[in-house]
Amino acid sequence: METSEFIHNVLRSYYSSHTVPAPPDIAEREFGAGVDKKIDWRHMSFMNEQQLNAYLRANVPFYISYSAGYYEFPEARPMQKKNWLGADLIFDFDADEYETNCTHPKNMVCDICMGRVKEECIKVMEEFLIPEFGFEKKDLHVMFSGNRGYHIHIRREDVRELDQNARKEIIDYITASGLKPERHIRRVGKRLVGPKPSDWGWPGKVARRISAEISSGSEKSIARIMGVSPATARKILAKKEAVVGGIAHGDWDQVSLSPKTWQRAFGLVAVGMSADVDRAVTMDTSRLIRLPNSIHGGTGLVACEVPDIERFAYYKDPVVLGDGEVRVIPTATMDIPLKDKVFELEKGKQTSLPEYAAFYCAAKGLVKIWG
Amino acid sequence: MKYPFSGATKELAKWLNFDMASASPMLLDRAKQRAIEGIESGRVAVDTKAKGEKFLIMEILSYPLAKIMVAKTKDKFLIGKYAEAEASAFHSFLMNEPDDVVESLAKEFGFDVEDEAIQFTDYLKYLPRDEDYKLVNSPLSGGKVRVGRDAIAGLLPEKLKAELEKSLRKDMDVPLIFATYAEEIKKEVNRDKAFHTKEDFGTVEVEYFPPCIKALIADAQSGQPMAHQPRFVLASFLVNVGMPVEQIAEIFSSTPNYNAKKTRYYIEYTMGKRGSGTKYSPPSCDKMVFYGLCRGKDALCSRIKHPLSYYSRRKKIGNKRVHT
Repeated sequence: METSEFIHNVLRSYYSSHTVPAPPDIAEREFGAGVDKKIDWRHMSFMNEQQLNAYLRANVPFYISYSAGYYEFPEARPMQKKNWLGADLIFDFDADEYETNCTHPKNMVCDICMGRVKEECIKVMEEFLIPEFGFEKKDLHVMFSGNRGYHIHIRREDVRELDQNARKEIIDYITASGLKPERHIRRVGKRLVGPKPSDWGWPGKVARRISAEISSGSEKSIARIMGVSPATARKILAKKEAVVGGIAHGDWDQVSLSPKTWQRAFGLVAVGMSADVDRAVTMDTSRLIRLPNSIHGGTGLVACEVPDIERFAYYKDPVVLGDGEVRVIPTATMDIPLKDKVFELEKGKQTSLPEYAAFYCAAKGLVKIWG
Repeated sequence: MKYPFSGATKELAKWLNFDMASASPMLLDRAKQRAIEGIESGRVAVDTKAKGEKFLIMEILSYPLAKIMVAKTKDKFLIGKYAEAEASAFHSFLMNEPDDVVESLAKEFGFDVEDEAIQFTDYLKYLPRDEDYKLVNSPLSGGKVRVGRDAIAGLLPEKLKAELEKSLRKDMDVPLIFATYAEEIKKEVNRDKAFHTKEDFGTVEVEYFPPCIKALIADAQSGQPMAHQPRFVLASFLVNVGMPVEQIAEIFSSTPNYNAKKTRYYIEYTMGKRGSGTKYSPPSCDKMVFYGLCRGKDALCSRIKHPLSYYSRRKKIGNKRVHT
């Protein structure tokens, strides 16, 4: 059997026996779906859950996405005619985007790359969205994409109307782009004035980090984190108490360093504390994103809301397909961990896999369906 | 009276029992003038020294009337320009107001200022496009941005502009006479003048030009030949600050081989009135350095990235010394 036929059959039976819940405000969302590509068709709209599920059953798309945006006429085209009413605020974390030393092929994942993605997603929530942007945990809907990444969806009324410029400001903040150290540490008269650890925003963050580093860091770590020579780090350490005491009330003059040196340290520390997020996704107010509770046609895993990302297991929790046996011939030799097992594929050696694993491997081109 | 949109002024109009249909021709003319001047100059001129009750009231009432007239033009360009002009006048008044006035206006504009901080979403919605206001350099915590009076004075006009534009695009049911006035505005307004100012820089003040541009002006007037690149930089800068074509041409008039017609065409090309229709901006400071045109850097230069920002900043702060 052709792989695509197998996938189609599995999805058809899944959508016939399951109901995909409508995303919030479904009637104002644009939908896109695809078989060969992620999106073959877009500008679709559904009034309610029934219509959406009828579509899934009749058309069995391999991928289905809905818009972060809300529109008066979601099916109208071109885009201007839809009349944009607002958009959820989205952050996208995809294993593709991060440099790691994984050795697997690009379309596969492992604990290293998925761990990196998870870490970045948590960092954005714990260090930016909650403390600084003031969101509550319940505002932040973390979604597993069904493949290699996570999204954060924020649907709060007041963020919906933010335009692209406003969203760019948010991304710039999180990635520390356009942060100007020379605005925050500068000479006022003869004194070198800078942020206090209690200050809001980046200046306070950086002041806290630098103070902490000087208080408890080593010569080596200070040199590395602040980008100064070991000799300078020694000079700072020699006056440790005075320097930290000075910074506590915004006086950065307790050790004779040039403003440039402090400013460079400020910049470096900020870069180290910033997070890495896909800029384009957040700024695009008409983006189509994977529909939660739909099956990702490239893996057979369900795209789903993740209630507790720390405990989420990407190879186990989103497995929803059945475990009826499917006979396959592997085209590659590889170990595939899924659910509670590791499936050991051996090239050319016929074997049988539970449906969810057969789907995963077939969609990734690792096996052919036998019979 | 400087703030005709404020509640107090609205109350006054109500108290005067003002009826649009009975507006005097004199008042209507003042309103039309207010609209045209605003659109052309990029800043609505408000006669704050108007003496006598009658004139005062006229100044106040001309505001809503001018608004209706502009709305009735149904011309997006004019509406945008007029909204900008009102916002710009508002901004320059705000800069000279005591803190408590700025604060009470902020409240009236629906900014929920609490302990000198506002919700970050409100901050972002009305963020002026100016490096000074970037969120990444602003104090943000718990969803709030701490704002000083200058930041508020920057946000309020943006909100006024947005609200004006929105309300002016709506259809209004008003006496027929306003449609007539709207037609007159459409006919009489000089679109060329209005076209100049993308950002509003108000009247052109050469004194506040950045050193690189001053140097280029000196070059142009020295009688020496000028290469294409510096010529383009100078023309695009002058166009962007809203200098009239004639005056720009004048600056180039001492260059050798000066050809009035060609120069005019060239300037209009830079404005986007000829050729592709693209309005050109002068290059950023980085590019100016690259072209070897960054000359005479001063303290303010190290705080800006674009010659036009230098100018807008200088216009705000005047000749105050800049700390580096």
